[in-house]
Amino acid sequence: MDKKKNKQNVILGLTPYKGEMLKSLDKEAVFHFADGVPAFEDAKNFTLVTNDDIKPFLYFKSIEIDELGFVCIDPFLIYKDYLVKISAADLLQLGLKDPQDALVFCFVTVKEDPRENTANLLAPVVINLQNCKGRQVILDNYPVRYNIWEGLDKMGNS
Amino acid sequence: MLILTRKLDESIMIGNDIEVKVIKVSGSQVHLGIVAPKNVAVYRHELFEQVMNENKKAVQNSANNIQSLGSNLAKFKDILDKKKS
Repeated sequence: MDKKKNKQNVILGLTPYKGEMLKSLDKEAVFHFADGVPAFEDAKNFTLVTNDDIKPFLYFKSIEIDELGFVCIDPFLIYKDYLVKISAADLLQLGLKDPQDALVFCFVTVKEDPRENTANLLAPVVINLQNCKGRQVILDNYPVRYNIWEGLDKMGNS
Repeated sequence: MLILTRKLDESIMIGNDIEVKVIKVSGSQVHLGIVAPKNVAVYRHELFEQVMNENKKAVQNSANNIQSLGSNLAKFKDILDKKKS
């Protein structure tokens, strides 16, 4: 019984720590992206929408551009030991001093068959919860299309 | 596009605080050394392009088709729920 419960935690929810972070967020929190995100440089302000219906996904929505939004997922749910090495340049722009203040999630490319949905692990979004500044940072050692379904499966079995 | 010819160990300046230096040339590979202020991000161009393209696709597949997105996520949830039980 206990084992099953643990497994559910890994597969479905945000990890408890991250879940707390999201709960502690003001629902109307606005995140500022000084440079926008690649390909959408004009979108400077975003908000994060989440509810039980779309778990484990989140919806990251532009405030200025109505139809602009990204489905997102917590990468730590789908990739074991995912490591975000943030460059000095990104750290400086985020004003991030303590990694505990960082909220990290990845954009999802939704496919017709949900089993083919992929997450962009190459370029996670990092938000400094202390000042609500965010950036999509580029790592160089993760795939741009990582199959979420297989990721969950691997995590569930480990 | 500005085109400059440089030899090994020679460099160019971009503005007055970014230096790009030719460190090594072997066959078709060129090794560049870059000195830039801490707040300047340096990426390989193809990485940036990959991220741009994937962002476009991610937005297209979600916002343009919000209804099928809803059913996609619902389906995903169904599969997950079945998997759990």
